[in-house]
Amino acid sequence: MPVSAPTPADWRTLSDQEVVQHAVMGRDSAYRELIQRYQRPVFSLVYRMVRDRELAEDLTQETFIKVLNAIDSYRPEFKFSSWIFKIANNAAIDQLRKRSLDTLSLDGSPHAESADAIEATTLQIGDARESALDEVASRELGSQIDKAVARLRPEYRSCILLRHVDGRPYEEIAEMLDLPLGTVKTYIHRARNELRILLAEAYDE
Amino acid sequence: MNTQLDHHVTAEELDSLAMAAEAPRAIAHVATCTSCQIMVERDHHLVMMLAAMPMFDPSSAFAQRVMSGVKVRIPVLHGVSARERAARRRVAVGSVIASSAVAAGFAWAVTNPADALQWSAPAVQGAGTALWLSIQAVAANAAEQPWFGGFRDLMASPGRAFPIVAAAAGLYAVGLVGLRRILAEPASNAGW
Repeated sequence: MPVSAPTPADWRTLSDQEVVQHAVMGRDSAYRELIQRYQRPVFSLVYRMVRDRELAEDLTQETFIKVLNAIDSYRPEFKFSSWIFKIANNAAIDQLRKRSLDTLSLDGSPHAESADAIEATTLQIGDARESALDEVASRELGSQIDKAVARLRPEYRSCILLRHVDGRPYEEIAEMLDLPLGTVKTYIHRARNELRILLAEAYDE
Repeated sequence: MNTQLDHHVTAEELDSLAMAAEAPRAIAHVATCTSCQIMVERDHHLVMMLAAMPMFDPSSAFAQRVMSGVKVRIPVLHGVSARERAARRRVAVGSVIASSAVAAGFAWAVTNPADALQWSAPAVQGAGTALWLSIQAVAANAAEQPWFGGFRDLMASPGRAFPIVAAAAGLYAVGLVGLRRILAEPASNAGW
């Protein structure tokens, strides 16, 4: 017998797995419910990772499209949140790696033979556009803690955000990031150490 | 002196204290160690700050933009998609109408054979004449073509005609199969 479509009030009472089942049956409103549930946490994570609102929105959009178009391959034994955060985090990390390749400061080309050639082939950290974007992000993300989080290694950053901002358990973070549980614990411990130091420095200034 | 209490707070214990979980040894040690006390306080403060970090919303058109890039699955109930069920329903209704019309016509012809014959005779005769004229026209046209002589010689021998006809039939079958594959629905996304 066909399953009737839930009313808007019913959607809120359904688990992620149940909403996914409705999406697999082709219910447009189930897709919207999943977007409604996860757009905020996923966007916040990605935004804090890449610190550029426009880019974060593009990456979040890509994440949702990727997940929702493959909704029938979702395996209910895993959490839907783990799946979507995993894809979002991978997208953000890939972007950060790409950006670091684009903007990493190097001491000129190893093949440069003159001072001018070395100067001409030296890459600078960031460019004017990135600095402006960083400034905008810093104004919105504003606080000392945000600035300190932004200085962490991307792997530490995702771990600490997932653990202490989103409140995800260690096991789920390990599953999301494809890391051993011990590594996740170590990353989070090191990230907290670094943050304590960075914040102490910021307050001393 | 309790040597266990002399050890500074471990990472696990620091985590337990930050999460307000049970850590009796660490609590006892912190009470006597100023450096650990400062570290635990700072860590606790840090965790509170992280938990209080605001969340951000994407722009208001975000959901709409996502939906425009998503291919909503066609509902599948009992193994048959809604589109397929609608198509089947249309075919069934069409078949019933056509069968009813044929049956009604047949019943009328049986009950009124004289009328049926009177009405159908000119139509049957006309159709037969038209068909015969068409065949004649096509044959006359073909006979006028420059290649017709060679073709007639080729087909005059059954030994030559048979493989040619067989090859043409094979080519036709291959064409049909190819067309069917081209028109077949693409396979669904295998996911990742």
